[in-house]
Amino acid sequence: MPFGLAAPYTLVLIVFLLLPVALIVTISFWHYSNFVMTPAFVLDNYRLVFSPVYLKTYLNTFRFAVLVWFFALAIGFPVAYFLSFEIRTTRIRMTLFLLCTVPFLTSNIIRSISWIPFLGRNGLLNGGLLFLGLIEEPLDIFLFSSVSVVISMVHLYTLFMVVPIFNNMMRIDHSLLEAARDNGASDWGVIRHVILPLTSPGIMIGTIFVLALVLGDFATVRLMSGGQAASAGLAIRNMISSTQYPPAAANAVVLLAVTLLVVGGLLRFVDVQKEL
Amino acid sequence: MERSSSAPGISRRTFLAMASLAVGSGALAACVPAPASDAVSEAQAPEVLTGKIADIVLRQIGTGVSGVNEIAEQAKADLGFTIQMTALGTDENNQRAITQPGSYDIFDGEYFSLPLVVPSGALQGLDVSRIEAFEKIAPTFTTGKLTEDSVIAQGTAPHKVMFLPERNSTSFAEGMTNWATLIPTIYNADTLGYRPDMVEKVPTSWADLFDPVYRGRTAILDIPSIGIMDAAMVVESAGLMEFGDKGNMTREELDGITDILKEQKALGQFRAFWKTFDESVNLMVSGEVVLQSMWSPAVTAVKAQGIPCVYQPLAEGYRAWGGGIGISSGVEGMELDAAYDYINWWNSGFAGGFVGRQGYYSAIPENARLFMSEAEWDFWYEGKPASEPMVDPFGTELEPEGAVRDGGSFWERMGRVVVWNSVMDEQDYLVQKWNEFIAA
Amino acid sequence: MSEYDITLQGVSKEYGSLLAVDDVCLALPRGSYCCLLGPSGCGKTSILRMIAGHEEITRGRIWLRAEDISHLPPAKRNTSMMFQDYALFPHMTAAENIAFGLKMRGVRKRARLQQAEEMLAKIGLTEYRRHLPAQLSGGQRQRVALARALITEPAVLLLDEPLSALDRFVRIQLRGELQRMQKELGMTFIHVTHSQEEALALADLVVVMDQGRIQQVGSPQEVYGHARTSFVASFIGDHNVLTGRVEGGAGDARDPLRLTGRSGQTFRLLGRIPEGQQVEFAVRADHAAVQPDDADIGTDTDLNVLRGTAAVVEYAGFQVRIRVDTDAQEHFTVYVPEQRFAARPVTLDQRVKVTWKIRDTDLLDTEPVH
Repeated sequence: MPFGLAAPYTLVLIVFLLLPVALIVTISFWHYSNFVMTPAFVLDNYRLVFSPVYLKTYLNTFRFAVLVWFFALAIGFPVAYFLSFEIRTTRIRMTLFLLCTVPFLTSNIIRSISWIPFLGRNGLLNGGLLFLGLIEEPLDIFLFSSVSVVISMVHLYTLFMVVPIFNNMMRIDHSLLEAARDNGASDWGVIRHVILPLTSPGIMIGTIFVLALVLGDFATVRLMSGGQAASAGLAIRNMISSTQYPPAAANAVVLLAVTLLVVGGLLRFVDVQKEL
Repeated sequence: MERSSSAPGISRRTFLAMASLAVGSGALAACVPAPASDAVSEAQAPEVLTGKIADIVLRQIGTGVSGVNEIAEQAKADLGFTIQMTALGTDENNQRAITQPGSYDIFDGEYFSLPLVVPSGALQGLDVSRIEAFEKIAPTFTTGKLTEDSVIAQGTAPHKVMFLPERNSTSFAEGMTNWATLIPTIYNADTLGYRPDMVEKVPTSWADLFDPVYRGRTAILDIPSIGIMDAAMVVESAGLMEFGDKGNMTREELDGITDILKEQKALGQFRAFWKTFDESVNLMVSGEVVLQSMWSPAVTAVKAQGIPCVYQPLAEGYRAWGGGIGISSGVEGMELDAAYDYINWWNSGFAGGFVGRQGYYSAIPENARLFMSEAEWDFWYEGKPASEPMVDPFGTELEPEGAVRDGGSFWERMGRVVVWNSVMDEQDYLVQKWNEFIAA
Repeated sequence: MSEYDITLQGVSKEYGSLLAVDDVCLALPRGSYCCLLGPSGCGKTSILRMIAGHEEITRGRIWLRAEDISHLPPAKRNTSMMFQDYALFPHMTAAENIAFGLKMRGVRKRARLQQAEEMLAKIGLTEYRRHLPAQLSGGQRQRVALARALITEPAVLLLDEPLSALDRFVRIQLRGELQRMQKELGMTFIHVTHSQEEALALADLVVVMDQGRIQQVGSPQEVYGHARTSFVASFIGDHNVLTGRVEGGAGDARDPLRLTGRSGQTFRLLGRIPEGQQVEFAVRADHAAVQPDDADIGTDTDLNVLRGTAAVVEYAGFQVRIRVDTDAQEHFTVYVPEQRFAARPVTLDQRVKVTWKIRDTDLLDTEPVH
């Protein structure tokens, strides 16, 4: 009977996850030329993935991942801290928390697009800076650049950092903070020696979320860079668009492996069982 | 529809619909009109058969240019069966066509998609003898020459991928045969669009896309096979490179053009690369971009928002594209007959007139003309000043009275096509180089 | 130099409209073991936390010796607090927990671990140095918490219900250890508890609190022997509180005050109260005796007498607990030593009289002291 309960989902996983992945792995070794793919076992597709162009693309993807991770943490941690420790009543805390999730009621694409009028040449940001006299003419750097990609992704993914950290922080007994202060810890000391170590599992889980999301992203990168930046996901998409399925599959396999490696590496630092 | 009732083409259409309704089995060849009385007398159980015709649903996938609901509705009214349209992006459309031929009956795509789609065997050859007025189709599609003295343009010119040796062939025929891949529906000549209110210099050549006066204000298409074409027009006219066939570049040519593109990107010449219609409109409307490769209706959409935008004819000529409709390999029996009816209906006038008012050309202009007013025909096809405001089929005023179409008449525009949207032999390498350019 | 370690000057604490601590004045002599005793919500924990600096004071001042620490941050106060559930850092080993205060003071790793090691030896947990709090028993955690609080050698140690989380056996054991440690260190301990037994056992100075106010301050003997208010008498336990109206008498030993109780009986006690006033007085349960109503108690004029019925007779080991109900439904509890009860037993529902000496009758204040 216990197996019976797990069976439907196991079936779903097999049919919709394991089989497709197996298929992708298989196709990644197929031969491909002139829009036709033929079953084979060749490494050409992988050779392509490891060519300088795609290595550069992967590096760029990691650059986005690291930047977005950094800002998501830098913004998410204080937000979680504020909600957990500065807000005294549960009702206000939950209200504010729900407020944080409101943007998630709209689609990712819409939330990305809404940055465009803000960051554009005639956008609010440039307008504001011009008004303040900080710049003399509108800056192009805010939109269709790495800047706008990172801003948009940080906006999209910070909540994925906030939630696990917040969850961790809510479980910290406030007397621990007082005990630390009593023992001479400064505000920063309390964070550094007590809160940070005790929320590190949450940070790790948030990190896994954010990295996995950014590594696989193609829509935001394309949209917000104005098509001028590359990411692994975008490269895969371009290949699929041109019906180059075998190299796209090889790329997907490599991306999957890289993501699993990163997540696996991070999981070594966190006992997920304990957090569930 | 007022126009329908008065148009001579429609009575024939209505008749055909009635005839096929009555016969049902599909024994009636579309080009052989059967006497109405026969059709009626042969009807054994009209109610049942009526039900069957009405039950037919043709599933169409397409890029949205011709996948307009108004056209589907008129088709249903005229033909009696239902056209169910699914709008997809160019890439998704190709993918779906290739990988899931069972999921659609009608493929509405561009000619340059055919080198991708046809080898998969997803489409069946269309029996030209069942296509009405096939001989009236603009010769661009059949011979590649709009007029006797036209020069055949580079790229995947439609006539090169128009015919199959046999019904089930997966490669193209050299010349004209009885088996067609797609029957052309709409097509157009593309060029660069610009914002006259935001530039100090009017662009006259494709080379202007690389002109430093527009630095950081230009955009090109981020669909590798089309984007590379625009880039080739620019690079060639700027005298930076020469190509054997811009529509079918060699690896060396791809290397060269990619280097030039990367160089321009590094200089900050481009503001963005766009992939969808909406993106191109928004880039132009917001003023982020003042000069870019565009599609004709995108220029119209910009103007409809009250923003001045010109679809500028350039010295070197146009890059053209053409679309058509074909039939999925598995379609047979009554559905196949209906599909032929639908294809014939498309070029019988209503649809051609409809898209004509959006600025597209119809494969059989003379039929489209039946469904356009004198003023509309003169403006869109003849290149004459609008004698009245031009209004699109959705009621939006596109051009005021007295306006002249950018680039002039149908013959001036389609006669100056220098390259067609293409799929190159080195498509794989192109995609790789394009990714390299984007990643640079 | 002040001879007091901690002095509270008119300290109040308000939470919104709630007055948790009401104008408290208190001076704790150096090296004393002070217990703040009272029911939950009486303000004792607030006082402790205000001394520690974890709670802002609303009014008044707090002094540590000659220094006004009213608004200093906790770390600057030279006090150290041991939290109710110990608040050990769950991610640190026992040794790291103990060394934490030194780490915050910038003591080098080797030096601070050395000191922690000494502390671990002192509390007998040397082998547990690498254990995380979750791997320690309640008693062990308490000791680690104590060591952590003491390692920075504070002037005053503040203990918030340090024994309440433990079972009775460990509690009594650790109680002894706390007491010994305090005497050895000669440091002032301020210990918050709701257990009168704990307070009496440990304290040099018991501070009984109720509703934000101090009810009584004194040695355990003073508080237990001479409860000042009816609250103290009933909270400390083992006391009977009766009421009566003053009928007359000078109030000295020769002419004690005469009162009439609710059931009409006459009581005598020492004290100066004007005639006609209603007063409360307390009698310790072990200071009274019970005998059958018809027993001869002689003509000893030194005794107060209360008549009633033995409503409860309970054997409790070395003594027997008897509850006598008067006709006016007043309850009076008497502890009779086992041997004396054996000599003069009382049975349930028997008519009895309770007697006690006039000088064991404590007149209670109606107003609490400040």
